[in-house]
Amino acid sequence: MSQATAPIASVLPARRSPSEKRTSHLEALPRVSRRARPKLFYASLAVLTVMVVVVTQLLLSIGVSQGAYRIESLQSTKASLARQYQQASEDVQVLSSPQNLAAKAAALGMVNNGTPVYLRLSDGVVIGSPAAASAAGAASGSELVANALNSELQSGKGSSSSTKTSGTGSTATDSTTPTTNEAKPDSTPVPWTGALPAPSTH
Amino acid sequence: MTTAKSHRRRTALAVFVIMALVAVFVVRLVDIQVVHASTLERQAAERRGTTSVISGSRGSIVASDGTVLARSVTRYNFIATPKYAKKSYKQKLNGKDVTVTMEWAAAQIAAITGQKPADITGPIESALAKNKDSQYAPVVSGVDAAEYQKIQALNIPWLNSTSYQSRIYPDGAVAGNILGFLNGEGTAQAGLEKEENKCLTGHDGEETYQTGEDGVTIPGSTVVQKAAKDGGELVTTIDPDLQWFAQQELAQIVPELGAQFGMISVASVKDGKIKVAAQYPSADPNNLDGTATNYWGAMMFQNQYEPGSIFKPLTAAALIDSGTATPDSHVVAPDLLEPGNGVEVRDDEYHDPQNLTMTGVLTESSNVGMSLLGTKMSDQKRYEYLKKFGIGSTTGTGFPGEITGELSSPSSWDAQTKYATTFGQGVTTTSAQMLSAYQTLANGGVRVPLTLVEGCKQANGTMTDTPSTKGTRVVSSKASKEVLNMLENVLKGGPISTLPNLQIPGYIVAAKTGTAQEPDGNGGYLPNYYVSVMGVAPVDDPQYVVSINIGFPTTITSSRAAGPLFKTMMSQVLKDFRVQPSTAAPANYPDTY
Repeated sequence: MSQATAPIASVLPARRSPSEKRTSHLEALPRVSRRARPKLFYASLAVLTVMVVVVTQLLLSIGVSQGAYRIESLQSTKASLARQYQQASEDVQVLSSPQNLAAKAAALGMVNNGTPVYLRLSDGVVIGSPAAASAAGAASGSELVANALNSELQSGKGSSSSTKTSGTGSTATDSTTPTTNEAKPDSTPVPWTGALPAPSTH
Repeated sequence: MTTAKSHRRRTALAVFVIMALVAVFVVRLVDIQVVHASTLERQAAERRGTTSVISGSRGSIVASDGTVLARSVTRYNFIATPKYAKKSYKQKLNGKDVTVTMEWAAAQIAAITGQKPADITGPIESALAKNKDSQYAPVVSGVDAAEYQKIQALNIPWLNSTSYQSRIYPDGAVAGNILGFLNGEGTAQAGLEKEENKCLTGHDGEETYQTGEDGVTIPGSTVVQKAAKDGGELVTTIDPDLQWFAQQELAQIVPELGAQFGMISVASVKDGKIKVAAQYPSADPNNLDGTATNYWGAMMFQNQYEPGSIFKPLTAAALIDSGTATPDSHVVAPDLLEPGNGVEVRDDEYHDPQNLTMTGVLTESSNVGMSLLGTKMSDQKRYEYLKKFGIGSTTGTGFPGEITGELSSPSSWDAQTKYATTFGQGVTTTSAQMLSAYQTLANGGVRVPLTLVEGCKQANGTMTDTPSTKGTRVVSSKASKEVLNMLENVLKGGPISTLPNLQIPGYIVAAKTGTAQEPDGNGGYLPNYYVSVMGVAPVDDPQYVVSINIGFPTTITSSRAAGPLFKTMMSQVLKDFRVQPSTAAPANYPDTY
């Protein structure tokens, strides 16, 4: 107990002293009006900054969402182009199938020569007896190896292109290059113009 | 004193409780923000946004030159909403005003897809008849991208589309039996599609995103939950042009011969790569229904026959390698051999006893001669040689459904089988096994496992799953060389040869014919033959093995049925692969003495 009272006693006189000081330090308040002007300036600056930030952010987000629409439309263009690419590559792969190439070659009058002849460069000996290839007996004339896709492309595409011209022609941009190739007559040979190709020897 | 103490204790307790709480919060914070961050983020995105599948497509199958043999493509279905289909409205299309009615739309769609307008209106009407608020009537299925774009351009509001992956085979029936096919659900059923399914399969990914009211994705909201992984590209050893040539020739010749089927296979000697695996009838995986079910598989691996005389060079190689005989070993061969126990070995034609060398036995394809020579070595030893040649076991290509053929052990051979196995009866093989055995003979006696696959090409260009090409020695290189030299005489068309002159100018070609009777399944033999010619060229530096098999021809029943086709095919192979003509002189072993 005695220990507890001691600090209280020592504190009490100290409490008294500031009130004594306060009475002695009396002075006039500074003028308020002089400080008011800079405060307004800072306030308006702060408000303005906030507004600029808000507006900038708004503009930026408008820009970003505008970009989203652009991305969306570019993505749909990309998807559409990817579909066109897939279709074109599908057609090319089917057109370059051996069945189609052989049929085209046969239509051009080409035949497979089953008796190759070799010229040995070391001594100039001709190996084998040269014989002209004939279309007779060559199996490559008719298409005997089935390819459903090729027959579909040859017949189906032709009919769909004809319906396209007779119909409303919804998408004129769709590529129909294979069918235009089909339309070309195979019989007329292409005339050679320019110098004959020859290997350059030194 | 006690108050100060309790004050301090209280303060300590408070601090402790606060610290404990903070610790709990920190732990939880770390748990949420670090430990489970990705899971929670995904759950949140899934709850807020739309989840869509990023499809990982099945890989292509290509030839070694890059020709696409099988690929996955996107196909589209269109589904009508019958509830709204009947309402007509006006819209601008390509600058023209049109009144869109169901009939107008059906006519437009039908013109694009090649259907009848009734195929479109029919399902809609019947769906409406069942339920006037029907939302679902599939009207178009399986259209390609070009037709899809055209139908989409019609802008019909009651038409929705779905897409799916489909498989196409641009070369049709070329190697169709080897490639295999998928079922309607996209599961591999046969062939390389099945064998290499692990390489080809793609794995679907998943992404979530949020959209605004107009369906436009909100920027920054796309979260890829799982990246899609496309399947690898399977590179085969097949040469599509040569494969086509073989199939085309077979399709021409097999019906001419009145035969049931035909097979051509070609393998490269040094590395065992199968370049051609042709058959007739063949299946077009684009249109399997065009071929009978029993020809959907790859006959080369899945059908077994008694090989007949094409088997004799294996016996000859065993005889030479074991030192039992040489190409010049003499044998007096009558046309009928009756060594006792009721055994009867006959030659193809009646003839007076001939003084043949082992070379002559092969040239004339004398069963009697081969029986006399072949039984000079023990059955067990001969059996071990045959096993090493790969007879009675699969070739190692791993082709689905490959069979082993039947080579029983010598202990179970009866007296006739002991003789018959020297000339290829009493044993069954697949065409692939014989190809592998001839590859061994051509490759200096080293058997390299046959392969159909170069490997699995990953997206980053690396090749994985390349099959092993480790060879095993079967016979000495001297023995293999001598066997090839003996076989040079067959195509020369000498007086005792089984073939007329079918030499290929510039090349020394080793070949052997076979005319095998096949069991009819009732203990007897069929009246017509399984006719084969197998050969290797050029003998001085063997490059390619060619095998021709014709099943049961009726117009010509001897090996002459397959001879011309062998010459055509071998010439094409040599021409196609730019094989150098032979430079060495032919061996010219004598046939008789």
